[in-house]
Amino acid sequence: MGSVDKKVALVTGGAGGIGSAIVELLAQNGAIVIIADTDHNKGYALAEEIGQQAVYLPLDVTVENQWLKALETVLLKFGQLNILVNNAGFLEPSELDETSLALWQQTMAVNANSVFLGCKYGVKAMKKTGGAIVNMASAAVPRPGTTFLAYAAAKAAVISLTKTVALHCAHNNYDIRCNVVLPGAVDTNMLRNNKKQDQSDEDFISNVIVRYPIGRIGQPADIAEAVLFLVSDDSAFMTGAELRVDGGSTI
Amino acid sequence: MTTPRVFDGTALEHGNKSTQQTPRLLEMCGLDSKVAIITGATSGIGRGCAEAFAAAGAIVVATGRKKAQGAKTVRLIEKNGGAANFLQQDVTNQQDWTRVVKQTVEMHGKIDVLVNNAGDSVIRPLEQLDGATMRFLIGINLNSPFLGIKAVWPFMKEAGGGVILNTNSVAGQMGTAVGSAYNASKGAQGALTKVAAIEGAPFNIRVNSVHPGFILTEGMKETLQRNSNTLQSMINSMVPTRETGRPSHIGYAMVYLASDAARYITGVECNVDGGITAA
Repeated sequence: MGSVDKKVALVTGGAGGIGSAIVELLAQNGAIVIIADTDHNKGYALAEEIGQQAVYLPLDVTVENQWLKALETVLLKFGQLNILVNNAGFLEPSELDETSLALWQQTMAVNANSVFLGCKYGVKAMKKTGGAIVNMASAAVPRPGTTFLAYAAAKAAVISLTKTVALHCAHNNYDIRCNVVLPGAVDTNMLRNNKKQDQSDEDFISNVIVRYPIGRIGQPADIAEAVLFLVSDDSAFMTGAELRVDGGSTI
Repeated sequence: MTTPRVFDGTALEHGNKSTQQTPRLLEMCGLDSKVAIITGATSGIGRGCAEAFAAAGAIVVATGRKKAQGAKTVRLIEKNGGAANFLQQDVTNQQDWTRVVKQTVEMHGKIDVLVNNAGDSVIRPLEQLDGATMRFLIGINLNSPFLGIKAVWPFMKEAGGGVILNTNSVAGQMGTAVGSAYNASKGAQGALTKVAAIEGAPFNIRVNSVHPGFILTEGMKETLQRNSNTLQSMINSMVPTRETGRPSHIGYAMVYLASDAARYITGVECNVDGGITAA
């Protein structure tokens, strides 16, 4: 009986580590969740596991046409869209001199172009009924280090875009709020893929948490709770805001 | 799409205009039976926080200087089935802090949350601002949260953790005309919050600040009457949604940050400001 009861939510990257936690928590709180992803196996499996509250929708978030078709389908089948979570992301760390233009562009496309397209067409779909948008940035934005390069730059674009979208909706009197979450290191495949071949899991994690005053990495549920807060009426006066969920690593 | 669903046509409300939606406070078991001291809870944002915490299952120790107003906060909470008591307190006084903490532990056995909410503001251009006003605002907005943090720290350390939340302001994050001493005191409070977060992390003490924008409290209504042109034009020019918020909006953010759902959040600034700092 949460305040997302019966709301229609679309979560991009919904089959991934953080995405699936968001999908599950929204569904638990009564939302109808559209899992948008390119991993069809994982996506269909998650939808089946959750049951009636969830459906899978294949969506490449970098392709404008697919966004158009996806939101058309959502409105046709469900009548409205109330919640959009732009969570899909892509991370391949590399140093400046090793970063190809192709990698930069791919990182920008999956992390930033996707959010632009999602917000542009999402706002169109939501403006009649109102709603909430949450974008996923990263604690890497204030503290990029040297290898998060393209990823941190793309996530910085997401933060700026979040504010623009929030203002746009306020100025046009659309009842749509737009906020952004900045996760720190979260225990997902995307994080663990950065482990070196000869490195142990414990060694990898302990290197990561050196900069985390709280002394552990985050869990997907931590991010899901932040998203739920930001799409529910508990945050009704919040828009254009950044919420860091990062174990104190950016203090 | 795997399973087509037919929308049932139920009307839905959103955003600020929604008053009927029930927030999920009551579902957040993280505050069940938690003991929360909330200063400046005799009115305005403090009362809003006290009501929100009580609705989420916490045992509220509301503090402030005005007994009658404090009693009213307790009555409002009890009327809604919540648990609260009022302790008279001057937050600038260290002995008062010692007494409040001691009485809270005697009555309730522990302190899980401290909300340093008591604060004050003075709107005055630099040229007319005197040292006494600066000292006053530093005293209430910086020194008092400092005393509060120090007072609860040993209890929270020994108990294995706790949460401290400081009511800050958008003023602590930006420069605004006629705010000098107020902005400075809130900016300083923000820095204090961050240090406390780093020092508290090894002891599972999380410390965060909430930054309200313009919240329509009795205090703000009075200020609007005294300085109507200044404040109203500030609201119109600074707030993208051109709305003021409610004390409950701050309360909900505080409840979330105090709860187990926010266990990975420390040292952050949470803006509840209708878009002011995005504009």
